[in-house]
Amino acid sequence: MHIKVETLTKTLKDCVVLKDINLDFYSGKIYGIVGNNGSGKTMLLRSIAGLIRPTEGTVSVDGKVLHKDISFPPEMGIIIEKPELLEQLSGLENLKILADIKKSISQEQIIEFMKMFSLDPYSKKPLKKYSLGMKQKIGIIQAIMENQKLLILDEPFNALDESTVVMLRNLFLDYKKEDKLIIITSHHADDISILCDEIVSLQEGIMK
Amino acid sequence: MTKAIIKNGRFKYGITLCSLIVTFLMLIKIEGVDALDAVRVLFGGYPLRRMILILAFVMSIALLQYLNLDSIMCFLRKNTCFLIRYKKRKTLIYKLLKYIFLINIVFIGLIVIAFGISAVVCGLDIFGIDVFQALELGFRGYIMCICCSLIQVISMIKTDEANTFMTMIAISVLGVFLSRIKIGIFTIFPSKMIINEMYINLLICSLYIIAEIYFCIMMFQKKES
Ligand SMILES: Nc1ncnc2c1ncn2[C@@H]1O[C@H](COP(=O)(O)OP(=O)(O)O)[C@@H](O)[C@H]1O
Ligand SMILES: [Mg+2]
Repeated sequence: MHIKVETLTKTLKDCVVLKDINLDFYSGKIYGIVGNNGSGKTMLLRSIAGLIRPTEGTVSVDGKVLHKDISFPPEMGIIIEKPELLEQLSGLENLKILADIKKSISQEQIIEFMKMFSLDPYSKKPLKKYSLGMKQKIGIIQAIMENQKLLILDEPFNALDESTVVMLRNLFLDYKKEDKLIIITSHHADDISILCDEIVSLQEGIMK
Repeated sequence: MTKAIIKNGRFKYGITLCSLIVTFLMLIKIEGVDALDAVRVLFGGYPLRRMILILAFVMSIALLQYLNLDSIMCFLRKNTCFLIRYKKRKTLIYKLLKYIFLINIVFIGLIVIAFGISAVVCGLDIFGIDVFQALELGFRGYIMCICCSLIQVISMIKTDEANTFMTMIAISVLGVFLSRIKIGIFTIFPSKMIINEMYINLLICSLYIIAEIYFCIMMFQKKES
C-alpha cells in the first residue's frame, strides 16, 4: 500500500491548520508524527483517513484519490479521540456491533483480543462505567481487530498502563513485519524513537 | 445491531414508561380528560389550553428526544468507527434514520403500554374505545414523532447538543401555540379532522418527512468529521 499526500492544505474558518504537506507512506513501515499541541497532527491523520476534505491538494491510496475515486482508504483501522459508542452496553457488545458490520471476525476472536488487553470479556459492566484507559483499550481493539492493513492511531498510548504500552509496542513491531502500514502520533519521545522508521515533525501546520 | 440499539435504551424505557404513566394519571384523574384525548394531548393534537395539558405535551416531546439521543450521538458524533466500516457517509445516515424510525415505534409502544396501565388504574372502560380512532391516533402520532425526531437529527448535524435541546423546546412551544389555532390540513399534530381532510393531511405530513430526510442526507454528506 502506498499513500501519497500532495500539496495538502486545510483551512478552517480562515485559519490554516495544514499548509502544503507532501508525504509518502509505504507498507511495512511505522511512521511517527510529532509536534506540539495544536500543531495539526490530528488534522493530518483525519485528512489521510478521508474524514475531512482538503482545501487544496489530494490524498491518494495506491493511485486512487480520496473523495473522488474512493471515500476512505480500504482496510483501515483507526482511533482518533475517544470513539462514541453505545454507553449502556458492555465492551464486548460494542465490539460485536462494530464487527457485525463487516462480519470478517468471530466473537471468539474479539474475546481473544479483550483478554490480550486484560479486559474481562464477560463483564456485564456498561461502557459508561469503564475507566479512561479501559475505553482507550476498546478503541485500540476496534482499530486492530479486523486485521486491517492500514492503522491510523492518534495518541494510542494515552491513558494506558505501562504493561499494555509495552505489549502494544511489540504488537506494532510484529505488524510491521506483516507488511502493515502504521501511522502514529504521540507525545512521548520514547514511543516514537522505539517504534518509528520515519518521523514527520509538524509546527503550526507546516512540515519541518 | 438493531437488537443492540434497542437494548442500549433499556433504562431509558423504564424512566419513560414511568413518566408517561404519571402524565396519563394526571391527565385522566386530575384534569378529567377523556381516554383517547389524553393520548391526543401527548401528541399535541388537542387544544392545549391549560397548564397541565401544556406540560404533558412538552414532557412527551422531551421524552422522545431523550430516547433518540443515544443513537444520534453514536452515529453523528465521533463516529469514525462506524463511518469507515460502512464505507459511505450515505449508508451511515440511512442506518441512523432506520434506527430513529425504530425508536419512534418503541416510543409509541411505550405510550400504548402506559395508557393501558393508567386506564386500568383509573378504571376506564378500555373496550369502549373506538378501535379505528385509536389506530388513527397511533399512526398519526407516530408521524408527528418522526417529524420532530428528524428535526432533532437535522439540528444535531448542523449544531451541537445544547442548541438541539433549545430547538426541541422551541418546537414544543410552537406546538402548544399551533394546537390552539386552526391550521387545518397543514398541521403535523393529530388533531380531530374529517376523514377526507385527514388523508390530505397524511399526504402533506409524508411530504414534510421526505423533505426532512432529504435535508438530513444532504447536510450529512457535506459535513466533515
Ligand atoms: N473544528 C475546528 N475548527 C477550527 N479550528 C480547529 C478545529 N479543530 C481543530 N482546529 C485547529 O486546528 C489546529 C490543529 O489541531 P489538531 O490537529 O487537533 O492539533 P494536534 O496536533 O494537537 O492534534 C489547532 O490550531 C486547532 O485549534
Ligand atoms: Mg491531537
